Amino acid sequence: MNFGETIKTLRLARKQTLRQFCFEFGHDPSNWSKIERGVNPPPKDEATLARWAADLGLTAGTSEWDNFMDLAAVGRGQIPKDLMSDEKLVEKLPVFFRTVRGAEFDEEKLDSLIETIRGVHSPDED
Amino acid sequence: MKIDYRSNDDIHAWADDFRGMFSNASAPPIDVIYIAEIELGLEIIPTPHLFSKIGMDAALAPNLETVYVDEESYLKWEAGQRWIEKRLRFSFAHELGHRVLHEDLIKESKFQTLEDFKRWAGSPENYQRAEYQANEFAGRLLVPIDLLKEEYDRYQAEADKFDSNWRGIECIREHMAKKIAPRFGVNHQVIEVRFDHEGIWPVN
Repeated sequence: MNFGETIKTLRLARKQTLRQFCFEFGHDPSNWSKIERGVNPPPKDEATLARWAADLGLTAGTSEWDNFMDLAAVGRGQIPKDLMSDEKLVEKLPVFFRTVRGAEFDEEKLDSLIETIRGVHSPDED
Repeated sequence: MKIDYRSNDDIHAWADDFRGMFSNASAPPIDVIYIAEIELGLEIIPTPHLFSKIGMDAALAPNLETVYVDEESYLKWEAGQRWIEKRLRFSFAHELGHRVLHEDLIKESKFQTLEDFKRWAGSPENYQRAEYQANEFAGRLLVPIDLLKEEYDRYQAEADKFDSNWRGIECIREHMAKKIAPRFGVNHQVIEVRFDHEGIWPVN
């Protein structure tokens, strides 16, 4: 599910129409609708994103919150900021890009790649 | 493809059945936007200049899953302009009428664009019938007959105290409709049409 689909799903889970939600939280319904439909990209500003996540009922520090921020970054065509601040991981990104671009991307290679990234990004290693 | 004739009784039965499907639609004003978006899962897309371009503040897309709504009307509603709220409520109910009454025809016709759909709906043989049916559906959906009769009886009891021939006074009809309309969240013209079409107070 992409960012737009996610915010729409979260809004509908609150049983709020576009108008009700936007009226309650002061959003522009036209702009919000465009983001839900993927016509406009997610906002860049972290404070805005945090406010949106809270408006949609997410709690900071939860996996849902992190996923929301990750989807926003991907929706803007960016790599999430916290990952970019991890030097070891950033070093491995070119390998990752080469691998996902490769024609032969079988299950074994994918598992190996995931393990590599996990190893680099494990908090236990810090 | 032509739209079949339907009697008012038939349209009323469809509207009553439709309203009965939704637990939050038992008391007016009927929240047809909630029904459209949350209950039926339709996509609502605020669209700039919809009213100024095609004279509609809501339009059902030919896929039957999307309702375009005039962006300016939406914003005016937010700004507290109640007349817009009433108009949008009726427009949404009208579009739901098309979706309920004309679903099969619209699907069979396989329209590719909103323009094609409007051309079909606007053709002389279809326009009058389709619009009439959708309007009748909307009126009955938003103004349940039992509640309308309840309001009418209440007003009648009051009016009888002053003049037993009150129905013969020209301006009373509109005055009564204006008194009753707020309960249903519609314009008084809608109530006047209901008086006529429901046989409560037919136009001569």
